[in-house]
Amino acid sequence: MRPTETTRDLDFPALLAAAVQGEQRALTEIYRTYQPRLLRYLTAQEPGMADDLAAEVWLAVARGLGRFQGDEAGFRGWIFTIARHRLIEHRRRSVRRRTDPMPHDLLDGPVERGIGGDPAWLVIEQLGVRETVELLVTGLPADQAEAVLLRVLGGFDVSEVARVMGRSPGSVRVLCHRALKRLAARMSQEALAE
Amino acid sequence: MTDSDDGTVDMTELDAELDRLLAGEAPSAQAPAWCGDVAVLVRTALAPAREDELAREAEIVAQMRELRLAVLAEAEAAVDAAAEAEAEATPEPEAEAEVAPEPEAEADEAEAGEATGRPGAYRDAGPAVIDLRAPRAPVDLDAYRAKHGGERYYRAKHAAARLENSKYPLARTVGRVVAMKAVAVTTAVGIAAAAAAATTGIVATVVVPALTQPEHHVSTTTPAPATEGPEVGTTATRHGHSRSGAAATDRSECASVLPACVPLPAALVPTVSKDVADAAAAMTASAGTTPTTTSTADTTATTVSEAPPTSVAEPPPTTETPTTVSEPPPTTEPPTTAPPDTEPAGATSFSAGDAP
Repeated sequence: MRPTETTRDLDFPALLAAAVQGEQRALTEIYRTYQPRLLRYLTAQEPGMADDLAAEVWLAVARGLGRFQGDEAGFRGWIFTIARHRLIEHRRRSVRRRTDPMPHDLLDGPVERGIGGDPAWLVIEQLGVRETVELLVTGLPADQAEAVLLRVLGGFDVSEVARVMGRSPGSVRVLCHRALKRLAARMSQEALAE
Repeated sequence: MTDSDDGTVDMTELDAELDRLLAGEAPSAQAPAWCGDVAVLVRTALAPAREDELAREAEIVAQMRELRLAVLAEAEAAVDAAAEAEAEATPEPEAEAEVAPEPEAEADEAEAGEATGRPGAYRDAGPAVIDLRAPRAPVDLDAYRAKHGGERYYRAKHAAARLENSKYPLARTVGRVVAMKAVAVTTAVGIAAAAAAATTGIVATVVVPALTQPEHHVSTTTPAPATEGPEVGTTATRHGHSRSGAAATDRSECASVLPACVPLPAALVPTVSKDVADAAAAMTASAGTTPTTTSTADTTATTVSEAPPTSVAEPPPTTETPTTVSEPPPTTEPPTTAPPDTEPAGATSFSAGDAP
């Protein structure tokens, strides 16, 4: 659990109860808390439809808010589960995989600026959040990218990611290992190329 | 320590390292160099929200709030409707409604309100369930009838009062209009069904036979058995069905369907003299046919050859010899037909005694 979310855990039931009653303050607080990571997760999966999908997710959350029972981690998992279902529905409707090309300057930029040499400077100074997330999952298979995104952006542990993805914890662990191994290999190659 | 143990330790350490990495924490000192790069990426990905990510906040939060309030209103309406339906299904008797709540019950309600954070919060205990069909003691039933005029009257009275006191006047008005229209439609359908049935019966029993059997009203005189005596020569109304050899002496058979034929006046009944009749019979017999005399309304006696042989004549209104039909005499005399103007006045008589 993130340190910033520990304090939110304390008054989460009251926040949830107020949101169930339709109080704008509570709804705004919930939206501000989870929207950034939700949007980054959706952007990494469907860049062109992320905003619309996020809006659909929030409306679904508002519709089913009265039926939710659980703590903050469960609420976060519920939101990302809805988002994942919306993604699957969207892909089923559009019958297409992700085809939005990655801009060349985004791919070439980090290499030109030396991603392996000084990544902190590179990432913080040159890349935005969205580009960082893109870079994190670029070149990864869909299931590995999803597992990494859920672990990073969702803040879930292995068991929670397994629940969201409908897989076993061992499978999720293997996916994360392979994803990081592939990421490491890519970064090593880029460092060597420099 | 074996190789496998070393591998297990390595995997465990790797899992821990990856957990730290994906959580955005700094990698350990023993971690490879690329782990630092990944950690920076993860930390950047977890950066605080930017303005563009919350650009639609006002719009989406407003939609969420509107949706949330709509869901709450819908839920309240559903609860009210359910409570109202339940109350209509189980009316409360006045006697039990007038009973004051017990002090313990009030205390329970107050505790419930405090527990929910709302002092005096409404606790829906539901209407009192009274099964009017449950067996009661005769004393109770007598009391109900004496006070309310019977269970049905009691139930109807309270249902009507509840309907009148409904908080949805528009729904009540619409319900009344719908009920009146339903009654009107039901009545119209019933009248239409009765009219259709009556029309069908009339058409089937009167119109269709009249159209398909034009000879329906022909009055026939059929041969009767000689042993019947007084009934010999009885005129019967036939429905055009040929029943050769059988006497149709039952007038009620046809009278049940059609009105009986009215006898002609004596002056209009054609008469044929015995000589003429004998001559006609002989002529017909020589020709191999049976003379058939048909009496029509124009009082003209015509001879019609038909098979099977039947003689048709109107019954005479007088008390003369009844008209009978006999088998044609097998004579060889040449047939002669008397001219109409020479016929004497009298009844058409083909007496049985003329037959050989």
